Amino acid sequence: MGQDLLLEMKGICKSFPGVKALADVDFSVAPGDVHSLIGENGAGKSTLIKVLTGIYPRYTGEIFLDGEYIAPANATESQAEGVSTIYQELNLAPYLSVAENIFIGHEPRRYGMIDWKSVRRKAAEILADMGVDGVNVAKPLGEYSVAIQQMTAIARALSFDARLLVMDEPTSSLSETEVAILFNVIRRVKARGASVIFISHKMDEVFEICDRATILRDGKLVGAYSMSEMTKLKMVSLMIGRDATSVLHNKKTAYVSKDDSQTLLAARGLQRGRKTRQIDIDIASGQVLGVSGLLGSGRTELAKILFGDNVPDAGRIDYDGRQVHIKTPRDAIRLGMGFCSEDRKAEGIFPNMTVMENMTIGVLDDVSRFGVMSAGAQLKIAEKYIEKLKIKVSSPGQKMRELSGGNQQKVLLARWLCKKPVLMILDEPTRGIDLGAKSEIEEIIAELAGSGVAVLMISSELEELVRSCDRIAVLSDGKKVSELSGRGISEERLVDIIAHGADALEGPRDA
Amino acid sequence: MKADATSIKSHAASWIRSQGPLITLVVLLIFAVMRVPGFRSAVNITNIGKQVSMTGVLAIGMAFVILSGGIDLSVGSIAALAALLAARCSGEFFLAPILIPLAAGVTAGAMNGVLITRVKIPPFTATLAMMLGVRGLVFILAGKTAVVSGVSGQWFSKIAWGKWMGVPYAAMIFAGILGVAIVISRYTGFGRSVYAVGGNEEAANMMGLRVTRCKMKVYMISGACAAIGGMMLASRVTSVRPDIAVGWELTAIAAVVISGISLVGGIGKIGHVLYGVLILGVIPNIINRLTERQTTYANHLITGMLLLAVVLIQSRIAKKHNTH
Repeated sequence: MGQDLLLEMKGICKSFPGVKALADVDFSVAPGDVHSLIGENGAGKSTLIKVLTGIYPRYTGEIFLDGEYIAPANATESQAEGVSTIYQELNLAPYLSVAENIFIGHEPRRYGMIDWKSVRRKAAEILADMGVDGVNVAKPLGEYSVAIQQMTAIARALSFDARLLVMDEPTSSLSETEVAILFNVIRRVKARGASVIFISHKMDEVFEICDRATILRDGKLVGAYSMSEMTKLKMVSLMIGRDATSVLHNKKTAYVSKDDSQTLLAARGLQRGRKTRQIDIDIASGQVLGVSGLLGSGRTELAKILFGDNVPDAGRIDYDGRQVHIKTPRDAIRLGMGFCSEDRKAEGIFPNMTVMENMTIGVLDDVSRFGVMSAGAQLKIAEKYIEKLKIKVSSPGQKMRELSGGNQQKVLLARWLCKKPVLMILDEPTRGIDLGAKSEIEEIIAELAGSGVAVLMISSELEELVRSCDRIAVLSDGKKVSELSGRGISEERLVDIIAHGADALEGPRDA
Repeated sequence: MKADATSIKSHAASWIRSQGPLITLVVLLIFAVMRVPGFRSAVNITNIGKQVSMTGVLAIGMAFVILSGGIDLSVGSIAALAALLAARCSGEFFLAPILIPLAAGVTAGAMNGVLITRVKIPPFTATLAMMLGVRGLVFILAGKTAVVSGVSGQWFSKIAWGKWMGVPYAAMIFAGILGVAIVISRYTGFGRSVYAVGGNEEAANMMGLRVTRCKMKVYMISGACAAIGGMMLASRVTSVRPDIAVGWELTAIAAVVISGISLVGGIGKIGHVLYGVLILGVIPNIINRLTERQTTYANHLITGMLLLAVVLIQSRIAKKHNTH
């Protein structure tokens, strides 16, 4: 085995009932490298990481860390070996202080008691070392932004003297400025001699921060490449195993100019707390209205007011020409609205129900006769949308929790599509989803608008907004600061408007 | 997917894993039939049937509550209230000993529902308060004598003692209610929404499901089931004491948990409650017969240990199922 490799995984195989998730995969990381693990959803990235971190202790193959054979049996053991994982969903305690979160479980002790003074001092040291300032380590973690919480998770890993940091989609909930700060931290971690496995669906980020990339497809190794010999186009082609030109140049075609489209929803002076301030917005049938802005600018809050999950303090909403009072999601659904939450896990999926049950949950009355549901009618809907949206499932009876993020999102879309919505609100519909599925979801959105549905789409990805939207409203600090339309839409202008007046990393939210 | 040998094998494996309660029951029954003297006698089987039917009905209601992500500690007290009312009303108009307790049970369940959905008290606390409150009410209603005169109506006592082709009415009532419950849970929108609310309440709300109404219904069903269990008890005994049916809520919860329904909510099958109920009924019967005494002081201890073993084995099986 190579002595100069920090991590070497050889011939890793892992099967689940009916699926071969990993087939003879080799993966290695050099010390001080930021190594990207790339592939579409279901390619086996997460499975490989879970083998490495001891979550799937039953696999075949060999793993060497620093030349030593290891067989990770559980997460604690792998952490003790020096492998730390920063998960997509942060596993931190919001009510404990930043310092406690960093040291929980291995607090410095004095006479057998926790030495709180040195906990705080060491926590502050680690954060300062990472180049993160403006954090009061004694304050509850929940008062800080997601970015700071992420930094805390990294600090926690460093407090264990981690040699290898695994970051699974660390940027999915960060704004662009926050990503820049995260990258600075990664560079410092690297300078300390630790290696990073970086998983992201965002090409730009991979090219910016990574030294090498290993590409997986359908559970098999495609190859390991140095980033200097890589181009975006080549990478995408390798990932999806076909010519990528069509994917990347998926220009909007269906909606060029639609001056005849009718305003479906008009909101005036929407107000709720400090997150939504005097917002006017118009949504037209057959159009895609984008909502842009940094995280915390009030995008999701606006969507939730329109969908009735939050009730506004003031303001008026006209829908289809008459004033409406939307107090619950049920009211909104009765008006023909649909909503896909950015937080699929908390507000979207029923993990232990089947794909079919997840899809038909909104149309139970339609598939019932005299109160009794018809299995056939449900199956018909499920099969129709599995085919139409190209959802990868073993059967409509597969459990939702077993699906990859992209396929879960498609099921959630299907859930609304089968209700034939008039207004569809999509909050970050492509977050954490691989390129192939992403372009498919963009196609679905275009098709929806083409069929006359009004779409409100929130996204952190400017490219995606520019590609998909007829108009884009930009929010900042709860206010609508600008609206672009038609030819006026460009990434440069969006960046300009967002950057204007938006500060770098947020401090405590209550400041 | 092709139906090759490995996939059939893995399907069989996952079926077996999901059938832990049934397998446990079958193993217990095989052991009992072969090794326990007198177990397979018709009298004994009928007795088990009668015994499990009462708490079994409670367990069905409890299963709905637990599937929706809640818990109902008040069912024992509600059963006692129903039993008392049934005994008191047995001399009144026809069907009074059924309708009045049933109404009381549904009302108590609705109160649970209101406390949980409107006053926003956690289910454990709300139903604990109801458990104490209703029990107190039973003591007050029973009055100084503490023993209420026995059931007088001839037809009413048939519920517990009557048989048709050797099958006790009580067992038929249990089976009938179980059948209805299975149909509701699998084939109605309400049943699906119980699973949805228990699986992810926020998502259910965002899908426009009536979460509050669903929870109300679930606790009312549980109250109704408790009342039916109480009536069956009243029909069985000659006098109803106010401390009757104490601890039944725990028996019902235990049966539900053994049946593989997760206390987290949203996971499990109502039909499997049958296995949980029978396992809980067969174990003490086996112990009694092996020790050849009707009551043993060690009875509870042994039942507890066996229960622990059953739950442990099942959770091991389920764990394998989840992590592959």
